[in-house]
Amino acid sequence: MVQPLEDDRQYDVVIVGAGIAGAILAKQLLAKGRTVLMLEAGADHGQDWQTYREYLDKFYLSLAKTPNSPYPNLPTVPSPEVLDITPVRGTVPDTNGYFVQRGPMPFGSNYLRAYGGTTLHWLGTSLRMLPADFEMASRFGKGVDWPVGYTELRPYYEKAEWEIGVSAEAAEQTPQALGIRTSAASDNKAYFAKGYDYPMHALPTSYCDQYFEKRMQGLSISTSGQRDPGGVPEQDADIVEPKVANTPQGRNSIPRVFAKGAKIPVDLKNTPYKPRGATGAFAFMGQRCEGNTNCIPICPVQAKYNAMKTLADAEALGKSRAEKKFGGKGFATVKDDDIAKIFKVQTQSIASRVELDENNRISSIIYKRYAFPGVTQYELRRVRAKTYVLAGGAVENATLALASGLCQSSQELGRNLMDHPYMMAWGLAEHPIGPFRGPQSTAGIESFRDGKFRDQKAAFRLELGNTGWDFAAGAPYSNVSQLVEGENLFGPGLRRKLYDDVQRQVRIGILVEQLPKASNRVSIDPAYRDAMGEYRPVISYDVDDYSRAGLAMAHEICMTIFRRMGIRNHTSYDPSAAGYLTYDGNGYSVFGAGHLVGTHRMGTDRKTSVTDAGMRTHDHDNLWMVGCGSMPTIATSNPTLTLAALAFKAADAIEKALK
Amino acid sequence: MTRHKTDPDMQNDRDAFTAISAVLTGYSKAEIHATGCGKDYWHQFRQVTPEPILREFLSHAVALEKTFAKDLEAGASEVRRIYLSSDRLGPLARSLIQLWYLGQWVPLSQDWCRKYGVSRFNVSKIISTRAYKEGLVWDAIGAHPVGAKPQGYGAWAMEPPRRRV
Amino acid sequence: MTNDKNIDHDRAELGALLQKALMLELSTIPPYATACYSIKEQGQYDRSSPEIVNAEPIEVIRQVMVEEMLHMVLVANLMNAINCKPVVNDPKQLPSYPMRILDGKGPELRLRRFMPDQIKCFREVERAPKDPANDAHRDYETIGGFYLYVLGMLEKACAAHGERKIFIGDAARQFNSDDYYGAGGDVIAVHDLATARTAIREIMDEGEGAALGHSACDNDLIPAPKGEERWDIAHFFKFDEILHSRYYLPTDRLGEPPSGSDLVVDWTAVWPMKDDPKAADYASTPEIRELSDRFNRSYSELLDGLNAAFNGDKPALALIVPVMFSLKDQAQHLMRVPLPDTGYGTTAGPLWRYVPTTES
Repeated sequence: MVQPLEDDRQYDVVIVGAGIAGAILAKQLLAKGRTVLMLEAGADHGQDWQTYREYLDKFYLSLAKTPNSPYPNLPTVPSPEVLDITPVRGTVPDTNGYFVQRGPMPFGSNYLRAYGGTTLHWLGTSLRMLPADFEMASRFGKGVDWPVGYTELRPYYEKAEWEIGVSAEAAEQTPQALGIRTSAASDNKAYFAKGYDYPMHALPTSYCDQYFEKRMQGLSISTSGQRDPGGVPEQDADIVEPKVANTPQGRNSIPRVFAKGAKIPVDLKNTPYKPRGATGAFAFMGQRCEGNTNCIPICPVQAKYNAMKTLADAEALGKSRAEKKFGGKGFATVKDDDIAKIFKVQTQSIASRVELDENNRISSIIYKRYAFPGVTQYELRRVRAKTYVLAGGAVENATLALASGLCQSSQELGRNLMDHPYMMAWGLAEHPIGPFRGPQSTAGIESFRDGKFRDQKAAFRLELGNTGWDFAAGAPYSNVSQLVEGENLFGPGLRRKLYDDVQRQVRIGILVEQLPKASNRVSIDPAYRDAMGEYRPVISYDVDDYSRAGLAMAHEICMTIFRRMGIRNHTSYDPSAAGYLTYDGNGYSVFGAGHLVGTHRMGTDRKTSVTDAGMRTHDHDNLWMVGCGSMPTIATSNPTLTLAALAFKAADAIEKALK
Repeated sequence: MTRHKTDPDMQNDRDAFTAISAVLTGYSKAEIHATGCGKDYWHQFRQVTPEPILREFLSHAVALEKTFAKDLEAGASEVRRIYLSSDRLGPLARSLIQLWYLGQWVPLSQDWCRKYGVSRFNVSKIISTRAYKEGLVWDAIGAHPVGAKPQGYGAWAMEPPRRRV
Repeated sequence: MTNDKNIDHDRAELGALLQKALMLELSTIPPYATACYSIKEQGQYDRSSPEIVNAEPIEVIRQVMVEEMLHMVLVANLMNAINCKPVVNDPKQLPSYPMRILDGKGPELRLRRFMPDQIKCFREVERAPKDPANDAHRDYETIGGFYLYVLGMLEKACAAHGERKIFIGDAARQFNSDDYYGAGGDVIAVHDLATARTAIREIMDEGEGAALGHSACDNDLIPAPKGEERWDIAHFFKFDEILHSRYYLPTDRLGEPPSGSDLVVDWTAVWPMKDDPKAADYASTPEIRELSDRFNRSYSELLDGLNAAFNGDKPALALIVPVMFSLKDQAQHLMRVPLPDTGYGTTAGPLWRYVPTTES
């Protein structure tokens, strides 16, 4: 092996990965006076308006507008791509894409290795977990408990909501308001701290959401397994009256004006909240959502939060500290090299190995720095710090740690990979409901996210879509092609039929929870490496009967909702689809939700978990692993908000350890 | 524009192309111009269509417009007779409709190419960023191209527009 | 009684002045918007090599327009504060182009595409008064001077009758940042002379620049990471920076060239819209007339909505947001349609004519 060149500068903290977790950690630690280096594998793009526009143009010109379509997919840093997902047959792994898929089911989720990470293409859904989600083992005998409870995480949720800029009304987001029959009555107490509210008002719910709300009225559903409660209100905790609820979203709406002297339990200096739009020079753009209907893959105006905003804050912090420390008086500006002494984001730098010293502490990180995006020539370098943080996402954290032989005492590293198997139900409403307008989802049915049924089957949330059958059937492209090629329509007849067909398209997305399973895992294999010689993630994955039972119940509930609303069902699951599975004699198709969770879970016991509750690894006392991988269970909420809260928590723990 | 002035035939061909595009899509000629994509689409269409077939395709424009002006039913019947049911012109017409609706070229089949001529430009592609944004499908379905031409904060909460045809 | 009569007279006079201000703010929007929308968007006119030019002038003019709309809201707040009725949809008062603003004393506004002469003209519109003391009299020649005059009249009325008797409007009609949230400056609810001054000062600062036009800064903070915030630039300087192909810094002074970074402008990547288009230009082409009529109907819907919002129906303001966005798309569509009468050399354009709606 070539001897790596030594970086001459030492930092307090080295963070691997410039996504949301790394960005929050950097910002927090810089505010505490620490020096920080970030290693980002992706190329330095996106932060100025020119390169962001390039992303946008790439999206416009992409034939398949997948979540990663706007962004560079460099041979130097490949990202998983949904187009590469195919059924895994027999024992031969599927090596189509970046992932090596061992099956039995293909793992359908992706992420983005770039500056800003996967927040560049996230939807923005910012739900908190429910108290029961932290106690799956003790309440339901399923999975594991978290080493922290909801109450302990609550203040971090507040910080996360203000960092991301979440639009919602607290009063509408309590378990009770969401129509959840919580598994413990106490779950409804103090879900929000007294006086707390989100920084911005809720975004308007879509016309389609309102249509659901109106037409679902009076619906009651039994979760106990009896198919039809017969309309008779049973004295039964299993009866749920599903509610359509506005979804808390990480996108800009109208900032909340708090009463003078109101005690907001977060960053008081930041009230009233100033919405942050585009990074770079066009700062007046995107201070409010314009309804581009394109949160995934790319918000054209950055009204949706992305981690580049937090990274910009971190850079400003680094600069102002450097000015204080190195800047002369008056107008003398501080040199870039002086800023870099305090904070530096080094892109095009792929962390390759984490090295240990004789005390089992991390001594350095070896990384590959490539000079030109896409060209696989690199310089091997070594960087040293007091503390190291892996924040590259659940899969990349696991592969790097596995490649470095870290965290061996539990045997849990890389295991317990979870996602929300994502299934859809779609149909045609009686009336035009206005699809393809607004954020891709503005409301959901959260009422089935907890309940006594969780000892038998998985909980789930239903996401109401605002974009017709686009994910489900490729609308509206498929409609045009079908009407022109199949139905021989043209001219006004084509226009009429297009309107009538597409305007009535409704779609429900079902996100079901998964339990942690040792066999669902990320591993490495010397046979599979990328163009830079780095290990490709080898993934074994399946969906167990607990989740399948949840999917089956969710499907049945969607059918009931359609019947109640007079929606003609068009749902069909193709047995040849990559994510096809069966349960109880029925077939369903699932996709990945992009929620990659669980590969380095927290816990109190070093034999069954990789890190402690502060996300410090049990085995190496100067190494933290932070991100969705830290989550012991996945719950039913989209995980980004929880991951952001965990990043704030880890920042506190790191700061404490550094003192 | 100046190029057209020196080449009157060119202008006539473009006019014929616009007229037929309007008939096939169900949008007016002004609306076809309003996309700003006519020049690029004409270019693409000429590149994939052998000259004699191109001539034939355009030759019906004037008569077709006249028929439509008198009787819509008769006009529609002519479109089906001349274009949609033709082995030669039908696939071209269907690709052209989809070009206007989606901003992307849907390649002619191998069969068609074997019979009438191969073009290396006959590949699936989105013609330009503007072509994507100006796809007629978005107007037809009462929406906007996703990722462009946003409708403004809160527009999604309002009643959808009525059908215009 | 005589005092009452005087106060009624003074109120009517103030109302008339502010109504003029409202029309003045409105009259800038169609020309600014037309120029802005005539610019071909980046990357869309050369499919082989998408050049990223002209995104910057589009964004610069867009910011100006957003603030002009804010100014309309501020003027409506001023009028409602003193119990006068803002009118936005009276065809007799609405601008028609070409026109000279300020009763013919100011610069000429025309409907033209994006070109240096047009941007120079916009710059003139936003120019600060040379001699504020002089301009504050009835013979103002600039918008700034006009507002100084309005403020003077308001102060005089307050001195004569007392603030409380002047500011008697219904507070519920005031817009604040909860009702209207755009970008740029803040919405200021007006209920006394001090808030009225703040509102007028904001309009002036954003237009001509702080310190009565001597500084490029407009006293609005650009949203940015903590510590990186800087002041935004006033309209006069924004138009000037397009002409210079270079950004101003907030610390730049009047009379000095901009000292910020480069701003790329491509004057040729513009749709060749006919200057000052008229309805008669479309008379012979029903299809173009239909597009034009559709645009005018949307514009009228916008004005009707504004009128309702300014006169008690505040939620109407949110409802016209989509109309504003659709005007842009419709205007751009018109500008791509060649005019047969001109040998296809020029294209149509939006007329910005109000057509009273008979039904809603």
